[in-house]
Amino acid sequence: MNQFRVGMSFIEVMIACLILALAIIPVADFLGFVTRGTKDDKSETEAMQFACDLMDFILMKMPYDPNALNGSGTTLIRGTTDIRYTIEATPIPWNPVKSYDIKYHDPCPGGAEQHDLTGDIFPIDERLETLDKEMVDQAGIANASANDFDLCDFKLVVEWKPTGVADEKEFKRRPIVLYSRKARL
Amino acid sequence: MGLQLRLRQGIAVPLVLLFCLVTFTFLFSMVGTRSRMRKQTLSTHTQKKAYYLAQGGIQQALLKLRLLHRKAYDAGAMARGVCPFLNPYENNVVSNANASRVASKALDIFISDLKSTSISPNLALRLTGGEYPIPTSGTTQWKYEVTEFNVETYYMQSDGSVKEVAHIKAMGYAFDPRDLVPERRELVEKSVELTRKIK
Repeated sequence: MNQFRVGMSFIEVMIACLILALAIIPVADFLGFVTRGTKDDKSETEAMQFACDLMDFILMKMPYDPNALNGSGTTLIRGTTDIRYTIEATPIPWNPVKSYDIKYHDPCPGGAEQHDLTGDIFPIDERLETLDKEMVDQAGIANASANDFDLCDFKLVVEWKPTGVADEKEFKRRPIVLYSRKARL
Repeated sequence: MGLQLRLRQGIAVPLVLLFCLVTFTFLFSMVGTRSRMRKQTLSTHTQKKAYYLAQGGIQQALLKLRLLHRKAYDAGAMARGVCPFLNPYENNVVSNANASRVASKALDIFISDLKSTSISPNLALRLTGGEYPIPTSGTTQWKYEVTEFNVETYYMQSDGSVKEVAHIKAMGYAFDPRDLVPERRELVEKSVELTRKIK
């Protein structure tokens, strides 16, 4: 009886090995998935950093020019990431802008600081063309046009994939899309 | 010896099962960590989107300041309770603003169209098409608005010019359908100096 029980341990070890093998397959698979995920996260962070740098450059340093903004860059490598980007800029035609006027009245006792101005302020719409001309005249710019002061929406799309991944479809998997608006200042 | 053998009998399977249990617990905790990290990365990205929309609001505010600098200056003066027609050369005391005469109406009008969801269709954020359109939901869209335009200091310089230091605050809102939070907000602030000088 004792001998039979001792003999069972080999079968037991075999069963244990089988269970271990079955358990190891998803574990190894999962570890691979986690490693890929970590690599993806690193690449995504690098792509995001690139996108932010480009947005800051466009907003803070680049002169206003929607035509120059529109376009796409060739694939470039940043760290361990392949990046390609496109910028789409759309100029915004301005409608009259909201402004106000102060109603004139005869001098009041105690001066303006003793008078409640709220009732004398009323909203108006100011047309860009008039403002534009006034501003252009002040600045002494020749050939004034309605486009001397303007605004554009722009969209930056950064597509990325970890360097070494051959599948081009990876670029389209999780693009980074940022929007903003730039003014001619 | 007999007792030791008996104790060691049947230990391999429980040991392996225990190992599997520990490994799977570890893996599940890794899944949890990774899922939390993904959400964090996503929220960081959405936050960045909100930040750049707020920067767009600042750009629009600066453009309007450039176009209507005098109106901005006057509105700022009235919001401090100071007469906007004050001649700085004849009255050196510009700091005695009358608090009871503060009129913010002009400033409120001035900033009323500084937002992407303006009633003017041309000022709504228009990049809604293309390959990656702006995602929208029933309640939230991507947008920005200038929430504050305050004149924080108002003083006269030795050359007779009057300076206002204005503080602009723009709030950007971003929404990502994958994010659990309905909207992410980012506030961007900028200070500008407005000077009035009579030649």
